[in-house]
Amino acid sequence: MAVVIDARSAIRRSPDDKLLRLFPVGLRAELDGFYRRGTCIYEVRLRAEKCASIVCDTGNVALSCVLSRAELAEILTELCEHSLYAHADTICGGYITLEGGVRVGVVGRAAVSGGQVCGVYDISSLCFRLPQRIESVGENLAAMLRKKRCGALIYSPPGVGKTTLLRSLVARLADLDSSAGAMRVAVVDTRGELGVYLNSKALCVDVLSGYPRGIGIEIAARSLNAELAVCDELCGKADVDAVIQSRNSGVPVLATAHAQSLEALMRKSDFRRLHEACAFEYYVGIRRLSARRDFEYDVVSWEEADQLI
Amino acid sequence: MIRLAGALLVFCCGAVLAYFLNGRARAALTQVEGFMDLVRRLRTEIDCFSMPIPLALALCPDEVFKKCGFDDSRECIRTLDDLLGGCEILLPEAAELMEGFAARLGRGYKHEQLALCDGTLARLEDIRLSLASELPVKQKINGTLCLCGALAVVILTV
Repeated sequence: MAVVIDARSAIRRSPDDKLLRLFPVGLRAELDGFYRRGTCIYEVRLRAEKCASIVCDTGNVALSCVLSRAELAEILTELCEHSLYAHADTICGGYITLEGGVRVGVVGRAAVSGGQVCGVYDISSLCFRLPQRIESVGENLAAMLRKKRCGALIYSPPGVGKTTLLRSLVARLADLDSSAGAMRVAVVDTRGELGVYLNSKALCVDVLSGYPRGIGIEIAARSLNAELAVCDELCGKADVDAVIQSRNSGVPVLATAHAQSLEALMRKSDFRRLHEACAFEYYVGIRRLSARRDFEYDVVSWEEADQLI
Repeated sequence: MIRLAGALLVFCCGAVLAYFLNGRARAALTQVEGFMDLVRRLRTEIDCFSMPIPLALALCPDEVFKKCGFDDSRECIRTLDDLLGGCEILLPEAAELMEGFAARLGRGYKHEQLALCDGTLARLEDIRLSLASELPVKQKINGTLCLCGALAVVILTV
C-alpha cells in the first residue's frame, strides 16, 4: 500500500518564539525576514566562523550571519540555562532538547574517556531542528493500527518526517473524541520531542519523559497497561530487547528507525533480530517528494518484508 | 557651655565612626561567610542533583542571600551574576573571586564545576580566616584611632 500525503497544513513557528530571542540580533532579523515571506523553516544551522544556514522548502539556504566560536558557546550556555553540567548526558549524546520539542544538535571537539564521549568543548555547530505540526498525516495508517492492534516500524533517512508522523499517529490513536475509539498509548519520550503538541485534554496518552527507551517500554508494558507503546529512533541492544519483551507481553510497539530502505534496515543486525522475533507487523517507509512538504509512505507487512529480504 | 557641647559632639562623631568602621569589618566577614554558604549549597545541588543554576538559586534560603548582602526581590535572580549585581561586595578580594566564579559557573561539566566550587571555597576560607583573625585587632585600631582623633580635634579646637 502506498499513500501520498499532502501535508500543506504545516503550522509555522511564530517569529516571536522564545528560541529566536537566543540568537544574535542580525540572525534574528534575517530569520524574521524569512518568516514574513511565509517560508516554513525546518532547521536553523549555526557554524563557528561560517555562514549560518536554514533548511526550508527550497532546501539549504545560506544566511549572511557569521558567528564566532564565543557566540556559539554563549548561545549554548543560554540554551542550557547557564547550567551546562545539567545537560551533560545529552550533550555527550550530541543534542539538547528544548522546551517545545526543539532538538538542538551540538557538536564540537569531543573529550573521550574509555571509548565514551565525556564532554564536548569548542562548540563548532549547533543545529536547531524545529518540530512541525502536520495534522493531515497518517490517517490511513492510524486506522490500520487501530483496527489490527498491531505494531509498526517507521523508517526513513534523517529529516524526512518520522517524528512528525509518529506524533500525528499518537494524536489520532489516543483521541478520546474519535468515533473509532481511543487506544491507551504510552509514549516513551527519551529526547523530549514526542510529547510536544500532545497537549489536548482529550488524549489517552501517558508520556514518559526522559526515560531511556528500554526502561520506558518496560514500564509501559508492566505498569501502564498500555495498548500501544510508542518510541522514537530505536537503536542498540537494550532497545531491541525491550521491544521484543513488550511484544511478547502483548503490547505492540510503534517505533521509528533510520534507514534508507527496508533492505538497508534489515542489514542492521538489531533490526534483523527484531524482524526474526516478529516484533513489528508492519514496516512503514517514508519518502519526501519534490516539494519538502509532500511525502508518501509505503506500508509493507511482515510477510512481504520477509519475502523481500 | 557651647564649647563643651561642641567637644562632646566631635567625640560622639569619633565614636560613631568607630562603630561604623567596626560594623563594616564585621559585615565583610559575614558576607564572606554568606558566599561560602552559597557556594556550598550550589556545590551540593550540582553534585547530588545536577540541578540547573536558576533552580538551585531559587531553592537557596533568604538568610543566605541576606548574608551575601542581597536585599532586593529575589524574583529577578536567574544567574549568579544577577545576585552579585544586587550586592555591594565589601572586600575587593572577595569581589574579584566571586566575579570569576560567576563567570565560570554553569559553563562546564560536573567535575569541572565541582572543582571550581572547591577551589572557590578554599580561597573564600582563606579570606575568612584572615578576616576573622584580623577582626579583633582591626576593631581595636578603629576604636582607638577614631576616639583619639576625635579627642585630638577637641583638644586642638577647644
